[in-house]
Amino acid sequence: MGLIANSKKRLVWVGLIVLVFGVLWSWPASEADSKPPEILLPSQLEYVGTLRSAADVTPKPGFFKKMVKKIVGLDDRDRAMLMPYGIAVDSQGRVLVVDTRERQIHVFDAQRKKYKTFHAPDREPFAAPIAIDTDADGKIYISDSVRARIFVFTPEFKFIRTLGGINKDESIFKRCTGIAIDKKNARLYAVDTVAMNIVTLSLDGKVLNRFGKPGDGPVEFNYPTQIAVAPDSTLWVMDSLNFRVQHLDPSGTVISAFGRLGDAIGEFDKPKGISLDHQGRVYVVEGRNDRVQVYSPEGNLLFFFGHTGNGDGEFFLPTGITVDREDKIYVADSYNRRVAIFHARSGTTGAATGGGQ
Amino acid sequence: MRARIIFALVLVIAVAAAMKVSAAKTKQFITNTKHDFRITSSASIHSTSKQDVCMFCHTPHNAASGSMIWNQKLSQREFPTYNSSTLQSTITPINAQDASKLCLSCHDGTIALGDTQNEGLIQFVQGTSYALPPTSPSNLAGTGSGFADDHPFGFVPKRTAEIHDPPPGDAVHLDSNGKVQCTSCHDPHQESVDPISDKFLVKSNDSSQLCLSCHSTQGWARSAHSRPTDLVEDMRYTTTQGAHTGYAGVTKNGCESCHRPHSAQVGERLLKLSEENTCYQCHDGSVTTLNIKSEFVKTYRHPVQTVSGIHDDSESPTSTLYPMPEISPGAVRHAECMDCHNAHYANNTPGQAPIVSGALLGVKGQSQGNSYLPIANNEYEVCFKCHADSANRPQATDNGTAGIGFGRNPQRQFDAGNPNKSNTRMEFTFGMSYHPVVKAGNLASGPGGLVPSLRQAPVSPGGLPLPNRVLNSSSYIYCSDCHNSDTGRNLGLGTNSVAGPHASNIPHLLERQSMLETPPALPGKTSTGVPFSVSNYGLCDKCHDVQNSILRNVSFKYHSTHTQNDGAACSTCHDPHASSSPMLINFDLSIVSPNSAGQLSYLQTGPGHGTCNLACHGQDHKSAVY
Repeated sequence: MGLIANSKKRLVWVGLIVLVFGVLWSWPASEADSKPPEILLPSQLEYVGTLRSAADVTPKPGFFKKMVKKIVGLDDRDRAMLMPYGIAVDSQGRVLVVDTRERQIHVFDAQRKKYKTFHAPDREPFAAPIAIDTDADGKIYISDSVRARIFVFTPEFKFIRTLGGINKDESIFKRCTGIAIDKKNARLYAVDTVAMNIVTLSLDGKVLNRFGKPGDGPVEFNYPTQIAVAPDSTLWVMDSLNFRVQHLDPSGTVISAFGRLGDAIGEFDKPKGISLDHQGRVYVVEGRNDRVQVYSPEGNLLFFFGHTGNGDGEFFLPTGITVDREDKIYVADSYNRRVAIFHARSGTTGAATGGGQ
Repeated sequence: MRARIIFALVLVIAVAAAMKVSAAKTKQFITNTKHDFRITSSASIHSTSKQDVCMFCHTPHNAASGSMIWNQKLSQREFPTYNSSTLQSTITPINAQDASKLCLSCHDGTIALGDTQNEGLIQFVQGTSYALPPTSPSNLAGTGSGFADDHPFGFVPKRTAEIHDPPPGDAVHLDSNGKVQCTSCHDPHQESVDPISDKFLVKSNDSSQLCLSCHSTQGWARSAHSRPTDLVEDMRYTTTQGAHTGYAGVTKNGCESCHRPHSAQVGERLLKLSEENTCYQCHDGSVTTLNIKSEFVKTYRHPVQTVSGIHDDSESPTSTLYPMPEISPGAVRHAECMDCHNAHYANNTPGQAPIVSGALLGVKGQSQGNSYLPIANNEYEVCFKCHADSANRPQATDNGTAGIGFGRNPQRQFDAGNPNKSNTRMEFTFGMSYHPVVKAGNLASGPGGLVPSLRQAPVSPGGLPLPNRVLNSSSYIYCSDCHNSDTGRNLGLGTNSVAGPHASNIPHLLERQSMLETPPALPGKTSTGVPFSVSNYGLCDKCHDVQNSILRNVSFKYHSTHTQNDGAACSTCHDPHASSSPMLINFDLSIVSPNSAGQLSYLQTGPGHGTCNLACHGQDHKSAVY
């Protein structure tokens, strides 16, 4: 009897010890982990996470490898990007982030747990890479505003050529910034911010069309910057200093426009990147006010997210934006040196209640 | 080559012939329609002798009008035509070249139905010179308004963002001069292409397909009026409720749920009924479950039912007749349904503060920078149309200091000489401290410091968090988070009553109580105060935890003394909108007065610390430090 009671007691003790260990084991490493992030997000979105450095996608190295890296000075796993701008997600699900300041592209491959960077060759270097997109074959196109060229790479990041150069010094662009590729029709649209027009190119660099001129009328621009192509091949152009978005058909005829100058929610102060999701909603990055404003195709403001700060869901001068095939939203949060990722819930019209109904 | 051309020609002729044959076939249905006046016709109005169906209108020789070889005598009368303050096309008088002129022979009631060019005056069952009487729905001239209550015709429509040409092949068509005629929508030979309405329409007007051939009204595709979410509600809209097309349901009645192309009660914009009465067809609880009409019997309400004939859809800063914001302080204040709701856009999408919810979509607004917005993005922009820079804004004229209990509009510390004291736009945009309506809170870093009483989410009167709302230093709130129905589902009580700032029985159109003190005989003197209970400040308690923070003196160590012991109201010291002091301090001058040294001030010296100079409830505070 006593023996059984004793062994029972022992069992309880062992259980307790295991429990304590278990709890300690699963105890969060830091305060930050233990607190659920208090992110103010509209009901249409959920927060996914951020990409800042290799550590966000690659597995933790073993002890030995870590020591070696530390000794030889290669331990840059946690080194964040410098100034992310353009973002593209290719058909393999790799997130390609243009770092304008570091003049290279960061490749985050979460599926294969890989991270790498690439840049242009020394004979044809980057000066200020801005925007990025991929074509149907996975080839990568990167605009460089200072070099006024578009750099083309293979899906394996091998440099192929540049587009737009007439000779060594001259280019068809004055300053090419935003680019967008219509994968279906193999068309590349490049925004020339200084010439204030849009250039339509074939994917081998032939100029097919050029439209727009300075002004504030239809198909007139005042320093246009970014561009997005919709699934129906229409174009959405950020006409930045007219503080509006112009919706154009592929030939450059205006369909509609929306936006106005101001710093209230829904207005444009320093509008930057533009992208579209599956539902055709238009995402506009409002850089000055550190938020992303989302509109219906008719230009009605639907919701917004983000505010100034460096916490989760906060921005400090957000710039580029892209929405991938899974409706994941990637925002280049430039001064926070990271890319913030959100997910647009499908089919929701939003469920916020309270006032205003 | 030649063979190919001949082949092409033959093909064209063949197609044309085929079309002609098919056209001739489909138009044989005139017999026994209301346009069949033969003695044997089954229509109630018909002649007493004639056997020929065509001759009432057409003649092979000696026609009254060349076009359509018209046999009917032509109308000589002119009537007023459609007009509205937002009309963009130019409506031209009906002239002899307009096909509509022929229809008017009978349909303006001036010519007898049997009065023909070549057959003389034909006897009808209704009498020898029977013309459509003014009371007949088929008489467009009607009892006096002429064609002003009819959709305009005989004019070239101006193409705008909301008006387009009918698509090629559409049964709806413009005439060879590009004009809208009766025949654009009606085929006089076929009564029942749309068998439900039976109005000689060229195509089915189920869900207003016919109207949409030319009208692309913005917002309509996503509106709850074109796509009602509750189909049971939808089907309650029948003839009893005012459906006139023969179709049941708002979906199928479409435009004609609210508009009437002919004999509209309100000619301008062809509305079926005046102002709110159009909406009350459904929104009085008879079709929609929510009864908005019954809200407007509450004490504090927007003047929807009490004022009529003032609103005009052309209201804008550039309109001389209908300036907005209002420039004349004496102008009658109005609020019609359409001032806050655009029936073409409205739906039940919830909003994210401060963005407009579906109910307020597509409405004009006035921005925080006081510029006119054709479409408001944010809810406060809708409110600012009237409650900001309008010279006749309601608060501007309410200067009573005597105090009328809980409906009082207090004069405050910073009101004297302040032209913007009742301009909510100026308050929220430029206040030193403010509720986060226009701008997100300045809680974290501003001079106000943190607000420890702030809840994580607004709560229902029962203390349950309202769904999908978060409160923190970067959240916004709606005007309607405070100004809302006192019985609606906005309270989060599981009730399903109308939400929204239509009306409330609580002063200042608040959704919950926020008591004001009844002023003493003289400011600064002893006052009975407000007997303390959390529910007396339910509005504040919605976001600020009265029980666990305010009364525990977390932010101000004399909060409980002031409120619980001495009966001071929140509003005695705090201005609910905004203030030129930190922490929304802006004293109610009918309760608080300068102290014995003649000073009235509040100085914040740090979070939770300050100095007060004032007299209140008979207490003299001279540099009272806390």
